[in-house]
Amino acid sequence: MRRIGILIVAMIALGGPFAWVAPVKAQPVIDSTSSMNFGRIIMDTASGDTLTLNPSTGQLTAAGSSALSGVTSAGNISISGTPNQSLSILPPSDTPISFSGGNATLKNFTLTGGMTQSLNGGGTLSLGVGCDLQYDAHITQGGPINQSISFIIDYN
Amino acid sequence: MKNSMTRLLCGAAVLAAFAAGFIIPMQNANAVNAAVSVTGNLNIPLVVSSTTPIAFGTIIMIPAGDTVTVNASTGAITGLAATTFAGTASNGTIVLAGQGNASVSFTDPATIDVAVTGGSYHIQNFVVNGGDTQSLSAGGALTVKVGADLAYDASISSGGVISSTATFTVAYN
Repeated sequence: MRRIGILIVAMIALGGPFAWVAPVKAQPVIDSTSSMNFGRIIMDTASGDTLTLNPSTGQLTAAGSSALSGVTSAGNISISGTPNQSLSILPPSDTPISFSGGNATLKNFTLTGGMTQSLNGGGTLSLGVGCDLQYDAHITQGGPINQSISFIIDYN
Repeated sequence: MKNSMTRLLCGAAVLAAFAAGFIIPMQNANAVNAAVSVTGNLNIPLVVSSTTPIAFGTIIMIPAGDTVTVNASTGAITGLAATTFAGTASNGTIVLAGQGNASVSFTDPATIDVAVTGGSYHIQNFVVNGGDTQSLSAGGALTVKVGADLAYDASISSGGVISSTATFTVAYN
């Protein structure tokens, strides 16, 4: 029994510090998000295309000959937390969307200011969000785009 | 035997404590997810597959002038006054192919004025059967019938053949 007691004390003495040295930091808080909207894209079904949604202006541009209409908008992420604390942001991986005859892919996610940023002195940060939408040639039927993507945000 | 078991259990407990000590700090407990939705519409082009003409048949004019109508739904021709008709009248057809279930809007043609001896006639008041806002089927098809009025002046002294092109504009909403 005495040995068990010694071992438990040793266990607490050795195991405890590893747990206690873990830094205690509050999480950044996502106060709100708003969606990216690509409006209406009339595809160039012969060639495919890549559209880019500007994270700052919300403007949509086509590398090829897609016809664009409707209202477009950049997304937004509003963060609060420790004033002046720097953050690292991990963008989503490529997100495929299946359609008849081919696929579209959401990719190359961008943020105004990049993926490493700092909260301001008041502990807030607002980020514009954009990305590319690349679609294959020969899609025979499109459809609505309704996806959810996630950025991972952490203090440095 | 009892001692060996005790040592084994205690050893396991110590290892577990070490593991807990190492593993817990390695978890990225401070990271948060920011979910952003992405919306829009990716549509195939809207294509006019075929059309058929609006036919007025033969209109026997009356001196007072008249307005005759080809019904967009039935293709029947009628006059406001005493104009008489011969031949075959019919409504026109527009066949569209595009994005399944998409809503589209038609913009009707402006009046077409045609001068003839002694006056003119006017093809006007174009109508899309079912209205100017409609939806393609799930398979991306839509066929609409179209009609129009033809108004002719009282002063026309010599008629002729009607041959005009009217253009409806259709686009996704």
